Amino acid sequence: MNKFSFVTQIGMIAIAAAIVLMYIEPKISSIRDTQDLISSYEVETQNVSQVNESLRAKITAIDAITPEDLQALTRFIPSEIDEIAVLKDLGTIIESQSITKYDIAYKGSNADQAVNEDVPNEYGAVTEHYFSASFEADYQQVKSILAQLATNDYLLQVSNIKILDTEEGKVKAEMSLTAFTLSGVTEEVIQP
Amino acid sequence: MPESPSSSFIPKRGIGKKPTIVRKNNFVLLSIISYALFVSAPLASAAVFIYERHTQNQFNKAVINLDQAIESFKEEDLRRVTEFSERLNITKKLLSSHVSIEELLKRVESATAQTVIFKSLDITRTDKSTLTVSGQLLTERFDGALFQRSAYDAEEIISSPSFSDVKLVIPVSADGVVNSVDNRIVEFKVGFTVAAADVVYSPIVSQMIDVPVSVNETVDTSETSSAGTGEEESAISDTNI
Repeated sequence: MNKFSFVTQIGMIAIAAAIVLMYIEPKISSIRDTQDLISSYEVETQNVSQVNESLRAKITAIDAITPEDLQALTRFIPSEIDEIAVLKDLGTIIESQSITKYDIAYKGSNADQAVNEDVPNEYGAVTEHYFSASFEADYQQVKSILAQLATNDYLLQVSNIKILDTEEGKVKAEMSLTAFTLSGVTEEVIQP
Repeated sequence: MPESPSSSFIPKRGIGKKPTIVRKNNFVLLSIISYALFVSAPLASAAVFIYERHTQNQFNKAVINLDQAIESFKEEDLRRVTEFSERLNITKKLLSSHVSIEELLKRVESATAQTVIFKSLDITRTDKSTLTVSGQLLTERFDGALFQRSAYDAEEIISSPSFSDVKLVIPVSADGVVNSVDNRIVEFKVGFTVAAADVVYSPIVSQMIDVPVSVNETVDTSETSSAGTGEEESAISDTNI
């Protein structure tokens, strides 16, 4: 046996072991880490795709609603309210019952409270706007006005009504009304 | 005479020859292993290198796919959907608690005796689901007050009715003239609550009242209705208030 050959072979084994330990093994670890990352990225991609799909389906559903219905919804609970327009509508409803003497007023809103309150409004993220109306009429006229208020395009909720009997066979009605707007929305994005 | 060992027919084995063959065999085995390792180690390194590149490419693709998925997500769409959903939910809540005060007045009318008149009526919405009704009523006799109490007790939508300040008074006219003692009337206060769900606004009713109705027409309608159904014992006319 050649002594030199033996040492050479031991050297070859040592070099092979060094290659395995210093290159192959760390690379395999690195590959394993990369594969883990690939798996997590694929899961995230799948999640984002699902959200996108769901969002696309919802947008399609919204787009399928007729513009008239969308406008009706926006009118029912608008983002902003023009108190003068509401007063005008209120006046028109009262005048439709041939009542000419009446008082109507805007009494402010709870916009500041709504921002500061920890407990949200019982209806959700809405701002309440308060109005008042008082007039003298006969009872039937009061009921007709209430009926018209109930069918208004936007909600005018009667939060309080006082009906007092007067001597002239009429009644005096004093109403507190509440209109609602959606809080935290500056523009109408649902409009097609 | 003893036989010499060389005369045996059994072949003689040279001492020390066999171990030499084993050592040679081990050396051959070591050579094979060392050569195999020496060749396979660089080959494996090359394979690992190539596979690493392949894995890196896959990772890059995964990153690109995620980026594309994120880019295809439109924040404006989400805002649109969120706002629409919020608006719809709030509308649903508002509509489900949207009461018809007119309907409530009708129910109170039907539960009020003809001999009892309202001097005042106050309806307050205390919360989303409850309405509080209070009023001052007048009647000619205590019997009327007693009957009214039982009528309100029997009415389904009226909850926890309370009667208070029942008194016999001499009415004073608008010009301050005190009426005769014989014209004394019974005055009392009444209060009760009504669940909003019992007088919730119904679109079917709204279709009927959508067109503004003049006072005369309403009176005519009530007369027709009364004629058709007969006289209701507990019903009062609208002129009671």
